[in-house]
Amino acid sequence: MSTEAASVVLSRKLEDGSTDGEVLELLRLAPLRRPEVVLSMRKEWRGRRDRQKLRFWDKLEQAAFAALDRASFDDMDWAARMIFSTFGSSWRLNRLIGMKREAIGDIEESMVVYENMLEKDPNNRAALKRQVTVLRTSGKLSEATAHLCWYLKIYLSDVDAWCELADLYISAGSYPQAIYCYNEALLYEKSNWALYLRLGDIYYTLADESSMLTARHYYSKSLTLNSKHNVRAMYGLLLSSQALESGPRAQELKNKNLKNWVQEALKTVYKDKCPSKLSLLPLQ
Amino acid sequence: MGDLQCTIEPTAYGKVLLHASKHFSTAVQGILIGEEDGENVKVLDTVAVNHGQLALAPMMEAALAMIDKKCQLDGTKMVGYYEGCELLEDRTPGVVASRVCDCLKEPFPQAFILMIDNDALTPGKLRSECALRLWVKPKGRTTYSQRGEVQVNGGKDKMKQIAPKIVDSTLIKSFNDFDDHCDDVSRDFFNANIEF
Repeated sequence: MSTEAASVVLSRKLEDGSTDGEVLELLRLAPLRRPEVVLSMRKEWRGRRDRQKLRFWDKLEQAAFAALDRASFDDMDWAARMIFSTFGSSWRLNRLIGMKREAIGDIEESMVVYENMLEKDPNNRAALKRQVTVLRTSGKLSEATAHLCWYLKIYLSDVDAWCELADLYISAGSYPQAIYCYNEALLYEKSNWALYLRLGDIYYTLADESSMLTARHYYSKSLTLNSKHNVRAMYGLLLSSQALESGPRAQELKNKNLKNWVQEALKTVYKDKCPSKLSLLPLQ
Repeated sequence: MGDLQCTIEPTAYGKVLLHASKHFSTAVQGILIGEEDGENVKVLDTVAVNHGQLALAPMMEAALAMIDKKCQLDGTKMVGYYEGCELLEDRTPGVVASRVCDCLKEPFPQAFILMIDNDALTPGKLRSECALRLWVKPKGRTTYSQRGEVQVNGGKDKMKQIAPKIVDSTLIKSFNDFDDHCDDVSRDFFNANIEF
């Protein structure tokens, strides 16, 4: 589920009286960061009722992460104590402890926590990934990149990690490397429209004629997979086909057809949902 | 050319802060709309464009084209660019900021950058201090440097009013940038209904 779709589902669930448990489950699975919602459902994770159930501990861990986001360290400490008294020491608890160090700004100490985790288990995914985020937080982008490359040598099929690596490369302006990463991600998720959209964005940013043509291909592919809720790809296709018009492909029929099609598609979307901005669309 | 004077309307200022507050864990960027008044540039409104990965061109270009049309209708100008960095201690404009601002300089040569000072983004500090830093490119230079100050129109009284609002969850929820607008076209990225 994409962030956008998830956020729509969440607001629906909050309004139509779904149980707190259902909302928490959605927040656990979807790529949403809404700590205030999680923390407001205290009964779910502080209640005594279902501590025997495994699901309770998932909620408790979720609440601990949310507490870190909102800097309510009392809640986080309480959760950590509960987890320790039931399960003893574990990598999940250690990750929490490391993340608390990060949250209070003790970056070096958090690195030590993760190093210790890796001494016990050199391939621990959580510790390896946390190290990347810690390096990124402290602005050491090239070290973060190196760490993530190392991680991806072990966990080759982690699509999120490929996307994160691509993001790091884009921030550094290394667009060809980012393209490589998204292509790797595509191997595992062939029909993910969002990956095609991102590839289109990168090629568009490169801006030379052949890249613009590739961008147009990727935007089209993204729209083929998702034409309903994909205004970004529509804008991309519109801009790339407009850009190609000023080059040697000005007279190409395919380009004209694509441009006309996407202009109509955008007009339909705006007429339907936002007529006031119809006149602002960058149509030519 | 003397030092550029820049004043910003409370609504425009509040929108920048709301944008940073809504996307507290990522970088944010947007466009400043205003008018020139002799040596002084007045920022009348701000349009939030993007959050997250800023180094990709298409979203910014699409938004710029639409904002430009809106400005022509309203008789205003795009006078600059604002950005809030992802990292807390980062406060210098990067490549993206200079590139966008250089584009804005073609129609409006005094175009400038406002950087959000992440350290000042607490309701306490915001009561007395403007969280925006002015960056300009002096004539004959190739890089931007920090010069002068930004004045919030209405002074400290107004800032005191704005400060608690930036953590108001209903306001944050109703605030949209162009990226949100692309998720759901009916969301207004000009945020015309928000006023401070």
